[in-house]
Amino acid sequence: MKIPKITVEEFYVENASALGMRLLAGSGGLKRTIKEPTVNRPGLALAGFTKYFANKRIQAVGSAEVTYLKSLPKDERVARFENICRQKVPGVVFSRSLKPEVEFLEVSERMGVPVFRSPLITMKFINRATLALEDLFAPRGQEHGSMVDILGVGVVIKGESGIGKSECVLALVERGYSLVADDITKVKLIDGRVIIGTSSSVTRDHMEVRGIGIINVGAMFGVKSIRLEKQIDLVVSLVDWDKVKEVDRLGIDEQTVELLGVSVPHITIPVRPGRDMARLIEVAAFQNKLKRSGHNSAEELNRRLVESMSRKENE
Amino acid sequence: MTSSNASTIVREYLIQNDIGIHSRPAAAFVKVANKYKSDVSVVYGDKWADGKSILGLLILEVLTGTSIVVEITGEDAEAAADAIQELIDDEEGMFNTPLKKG
Repeated sequence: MKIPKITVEEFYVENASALGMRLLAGSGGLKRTIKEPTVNRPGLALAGFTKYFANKRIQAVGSAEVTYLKSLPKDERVARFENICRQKVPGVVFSRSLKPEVEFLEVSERMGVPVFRSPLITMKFINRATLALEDLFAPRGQEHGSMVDILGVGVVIKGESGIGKSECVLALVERGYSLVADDITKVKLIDGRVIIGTSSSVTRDHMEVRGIGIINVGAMFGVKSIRLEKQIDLVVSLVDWDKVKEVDRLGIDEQTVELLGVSVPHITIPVRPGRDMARLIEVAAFQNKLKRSGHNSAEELNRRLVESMSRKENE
Repeated sequence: MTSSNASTIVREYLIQNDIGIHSRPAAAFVKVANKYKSDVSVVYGDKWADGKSILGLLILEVLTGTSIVVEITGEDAEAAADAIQELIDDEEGMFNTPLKKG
């Protein structure tokens, strides 16, 4: 999995309003790349120690840094600021609405290092910016399959075209569950363990139903029928009855499938005319929910049986 | 001549796994039985079950060291009987996998 290259511009455009960021100077450097998904406070570097400096990160300058710089003569503090800009930092953010000196902005323009300002207190800025960066850096991919949120269980429904995915999704939406994505589900890995599914922003809220065409699910079934994104808890493959090689009849052993390197529970449901697929997927989602809360129906039944059998054996 | 190739085979199988027919052995048995067109019925003492039904097999509570009698009726009865024998004899197979403790 390759690490994505995030430019300062992308970070700024995506998060300007959430982080209250405003570009003050150095727009020539917006194409600089952020190489690590976190934020650094450049206190030590401003004090002159640049031997070990997290220069691949956005630099957050707060009260501590500004107060320290103020304690220095003007020429010196401009030189110190210039010194960290020279370390190829992607950008500098002044938090707490702190106002960088005019000379700093001149340095920023000249060296092409974007300088921003945010009204957030430094700690808040760092927290939110780190989360935003983690999201930008998250490994991404896409799955061929529709996604529905069934009472908190995120289910991706896969299957060959024509097997009846859309009909299933439609039936689930009619039952009151929410559509996350139709046909193509975009996935991203958050924090190395959680897979989030969403739809492409272009097709969001829409589905294609053979014979009818494109429908707007949100408009037709109301806001509760759509959901922007949801963690993926279960993948269901719909497979033609005759093509299913082996079906797990008990469900004791959990089958999984890899999404972006993470194992996600996976079940295969054989499709045959007359089987209510939406109902089966609904039950599969509930079964997944039960398992997550510590109930494994198949194991519980077996335990009861084995107890009964060992009593008989001892008689 | 009517249904000349439909025959009934009755065989007795001794169960020798760790406990008897619990979920996994039952699932393994049903998987094999379902591969054949023939009807498979399992008789254990005074109880009877459809050999193609997991829950049916479970309620027989077949203990290890005892035998089941299997009646197979249909055109592929012979093959089915042999397949069941093979399943029960396969010490490494799912039918004889010991129950996980814990």
